[in-house]
Amino acid sequence: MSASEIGQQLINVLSLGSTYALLALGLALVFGVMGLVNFAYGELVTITGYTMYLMTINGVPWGLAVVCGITFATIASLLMERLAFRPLRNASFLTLLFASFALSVILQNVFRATVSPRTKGIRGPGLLIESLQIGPLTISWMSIVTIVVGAAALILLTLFMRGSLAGISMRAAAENFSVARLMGIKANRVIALAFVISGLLAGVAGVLWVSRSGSVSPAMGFVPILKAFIATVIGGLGSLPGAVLGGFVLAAAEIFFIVVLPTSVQPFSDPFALLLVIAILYFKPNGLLAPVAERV
Amino acid sequence: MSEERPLLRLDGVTSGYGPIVAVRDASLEVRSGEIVALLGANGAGKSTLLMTVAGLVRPTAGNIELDGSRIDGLKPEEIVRRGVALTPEGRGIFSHLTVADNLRIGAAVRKDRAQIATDAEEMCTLFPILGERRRQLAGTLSGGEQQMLALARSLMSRPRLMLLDEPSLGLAPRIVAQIFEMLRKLPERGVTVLLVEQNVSLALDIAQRGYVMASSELQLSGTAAELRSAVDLEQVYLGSAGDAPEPAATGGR
Repeated sequence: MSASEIGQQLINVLSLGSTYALLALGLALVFGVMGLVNFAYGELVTITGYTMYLMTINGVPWGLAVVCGITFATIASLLMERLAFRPLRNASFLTLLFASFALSVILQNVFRATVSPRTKGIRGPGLLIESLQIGPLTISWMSIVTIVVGAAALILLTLFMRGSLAGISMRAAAENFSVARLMGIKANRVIALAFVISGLLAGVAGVLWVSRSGSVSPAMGFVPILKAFIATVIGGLGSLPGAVLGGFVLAAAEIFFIVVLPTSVQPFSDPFALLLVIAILYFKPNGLLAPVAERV
Repeated sequence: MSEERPLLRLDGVTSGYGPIVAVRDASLEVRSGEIVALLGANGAGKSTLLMTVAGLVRPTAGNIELDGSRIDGLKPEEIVRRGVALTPEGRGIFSHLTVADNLRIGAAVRKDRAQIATDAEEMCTLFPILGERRRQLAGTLSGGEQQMLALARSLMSRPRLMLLDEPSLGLAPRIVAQIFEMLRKLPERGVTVLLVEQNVSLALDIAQRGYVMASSELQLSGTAAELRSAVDLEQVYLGSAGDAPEPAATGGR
């Protein structure tokens, strides 16, 4: 493999990895403060997709559709907390997990009933399918936009989580919820904030996802939630840096197998990537950057 | 008993975890400026009593009054705003946050930013080691340093009443002496203290009064001198194995 091919694949890893990282972060944030793996999280990506689809077919400009898609995902995430998860605040891990599965199924059927059960095409700006030639590398604008948006979101989130009182409170609540409340951190507020940021991340990742795939369908949230979940498990459930690392590791594994496997086996590159994940978990059962299990 | 209104008053408080009663019909008073010790064996219900005052455990019966107004049934985040700070057993510091961020979180209930910064500086004078380790993750501190951080973090909320749960637990005697010297001076800062402590003589050294808890009930109370000379203190203290368990995890989100 030539140097330029390696460079090409590295860009693919960065692009795919930053999408996975954003998705995984949204999942990990909510898990951190509430102990909930929100399997309805993928439906936030779907909501972004359908918002953009319905707006663009009615002639709304792309930029506005993007903003509305992200906004609606954020509002939907907040509503999920209020309506579905707040009543179950102190429920067991499994109860929360099944509630989120139920919510996911309900939302998918709402999309089927109200929009269409079939896959619908969505057209982004033409620029995204064009490419840029830099020396020997051909880089699609889609990859560039994804990498830039991903990096910007990661930097902003890091600044927020480390620099603001709300961000520090959220990290404190993720480590020890009861003690955080003893410090005066309001339980409802910190959990609602985690859902808002989770929704924002799902919205941003959703825009990237839909722009790349060019289509929306009722069950389209399944793959993003699956990738996000695998990434958080690789990185260590509950660890935010772990979620980012897990996203990039998963992307690297997937692209590695797409590149090295012979064409006839390529449809099975995902299972190979999952085998690698199992190997990682064999050596690091709690994930690469597992947070210290400390619940006082 | 003095005529003035106590800062903290528990009247017939019963609390526990689901069907398990860990505190039964407890009545006690802590007056402003006092250090009051709460003594008793493991599992006697002392920690639960503190957590009930702080709002982490809801009482099933009885009243809790702070300076004359009811606080039982309030959320922990509301009770700390009234001026009650619990330093939990095992310290509960945020090990993934820096020392400075732990202190900042301690002041989460306050809005006076400039004064918060001054107070954080003062904590670093009170506990110089915290000043040196300010930028380090709290998880890298030793046990004694973590206890100091936990106390400093509680002080950052400017409490009127501090509830201390086993501040000497697992620490070297030299560190314990240092910490108790600081605790002794808390009333000078306007902080009243209710102290749960396994080490009876250490607790009675700095406390003016005390209560002894066994089998979920307050069995005995008196001045520090009275309690020290009480013949059966050691018996009550040691002879109560097999009581209601006190789960370390406090759940409540």
